[in-house]
Amino acid sequence: MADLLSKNSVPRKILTNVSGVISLVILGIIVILAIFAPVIYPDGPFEMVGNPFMPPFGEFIFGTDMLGRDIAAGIAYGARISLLVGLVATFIIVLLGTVIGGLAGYYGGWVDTLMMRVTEFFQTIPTFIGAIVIVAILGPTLPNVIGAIAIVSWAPLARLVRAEVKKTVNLEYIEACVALGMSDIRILIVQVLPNVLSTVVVAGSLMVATAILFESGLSFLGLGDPNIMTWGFMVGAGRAAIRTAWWMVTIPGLAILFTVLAINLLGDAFNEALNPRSKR
Amino acid sequence: MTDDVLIEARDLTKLHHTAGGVVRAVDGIDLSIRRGETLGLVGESGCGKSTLGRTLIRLHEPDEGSIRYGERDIAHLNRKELRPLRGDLQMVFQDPFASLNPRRSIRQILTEPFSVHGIGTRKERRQIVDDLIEKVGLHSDFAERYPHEISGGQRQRIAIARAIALDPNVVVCDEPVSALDVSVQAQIINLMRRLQTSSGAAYLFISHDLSVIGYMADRIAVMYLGEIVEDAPKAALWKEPLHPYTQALFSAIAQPDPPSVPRRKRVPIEGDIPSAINPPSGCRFRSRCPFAMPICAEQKPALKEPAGRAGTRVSCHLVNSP
Repeated sequence: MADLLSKNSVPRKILTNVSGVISLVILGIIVILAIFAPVIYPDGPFEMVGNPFMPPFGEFIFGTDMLGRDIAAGIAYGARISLLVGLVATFIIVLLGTVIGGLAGYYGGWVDTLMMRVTEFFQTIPTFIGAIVIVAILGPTLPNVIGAIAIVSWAPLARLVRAEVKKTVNLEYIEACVALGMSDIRILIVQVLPNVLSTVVVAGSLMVATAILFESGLSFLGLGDPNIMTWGFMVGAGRAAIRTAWWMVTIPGLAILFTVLAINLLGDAFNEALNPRSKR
Repeated sequence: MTDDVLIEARDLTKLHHTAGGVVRAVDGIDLSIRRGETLGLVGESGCGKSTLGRTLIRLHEPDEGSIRYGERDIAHLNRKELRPLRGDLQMVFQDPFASLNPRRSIRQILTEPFSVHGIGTRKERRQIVDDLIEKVGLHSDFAERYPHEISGGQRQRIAIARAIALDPNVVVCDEPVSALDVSVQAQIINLMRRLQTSSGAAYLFISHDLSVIGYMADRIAVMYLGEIVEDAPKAALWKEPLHPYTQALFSAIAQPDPPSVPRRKRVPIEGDIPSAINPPSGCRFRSRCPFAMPICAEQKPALKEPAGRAGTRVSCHLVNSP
């Protein structure tokens, strides 16, 4: 791919798209914050560094919470968890969804029936309640939270991939590959998957935002890992003081909002860039 | 049949299971193609032409019957057993916009036959593909382009190049020109004729267009509702079509009038093709046949050689009185 920045390449299309640029700037700030959190705040997010209930834009840019912990440090360390959860959960979701949806769509018949029944079973679980139950049973650790999010979220993606694969498999160029004696695996990976990829990328990028919201929701309810500072946990903890100290809920809430918004915008930009019918 | 028969189907049957019932898309067809021969297969859309072609080269597995290719019956070989034969049995598809993967370059598409069958090194394949592209009348620069960057006729040339890449013995062409402009059709047909003559392969050329078939084929089989109703050398069929359905097809040609069917003898054909789920009893064409007799509803006419017409087979009570 030497033509990475040529006229019609995907990166270029995203960089010339307004929402694409905005989302990349916001995400860039968050990623930098996450990477350099231990450098900027070497004491960690749980250290009581000042007086409690200090308002923002004073000694501490985002103020302190009821125990005198620096909220800015919490935002920086929370960014690491949000991004980690979003990316790892999405990776698992995309892997499960693509493999199950791909096999079901390609083979059809009883393979399809079996896999779609399993998928439907997971679809009938109310997603957030399902995640709460899984974390409540297995215990509130970060891997369990990520696993719970993936388990309740992969089913819709599997159905999407299945539909796309089914559409592709009926085309004559797949028949031509069968007529050449190409193996199933090779047809699936070399011929079918690249045609499904744009759908997966778009759905997957939106999935990152959903996973971050899920993790925040779980932490807000006290089901996050107690040893890790997360945005959801900060909102949940600051809730008690919302009348006297608005910043304790608002600032981590805004962090969630901007991150999720940026990821959604990036997903839209991908959608536009990967759509062969888009005019730009 | 003579010994140079390359591929021969006996009693070939392929069922489609649909929500409305079982369709006998291909129903007990006997057919053979000799080395170097082009068999034209003509019929209305939905009569099972494409299914027959795809079943013959085992893109579908037949429900009944046998397909003799060389010394073997390939009707029920599994995928693994078929693999070494795949290069021998190839297909050119109807729609050149659907038959080339939009995400792969022409070079990638044309390299696939060789990489799948492990022929040549990477470097040799480059040369082979360049030669192949030139063989179908394009410049080898086309190799680096993508399907959406070239025209329909050029795409069909690439699809033909892919089909002949492994020097096949049997090529099924499923309406290869019906999606193309008329001016391009002639070029593609000429190309296919040239390639066929030089290779000596057996071609099954499927079309609903009698004039295209007439140009390509040595022998023509007429198909109606999953069955072959007439199978004759081109000259004989052109001179005197025997089956009322064949006569009706000739009557339906717009221009120019074929000399064999003067205007007064035109055979009208009315109505739509009947449901293949529940075909008429006896002769399947009787519901639209202007010459239908009582016996046509009771007894199915056999496909056999009429007196004095060697090499022709026809299934009609009018021709072969029972």
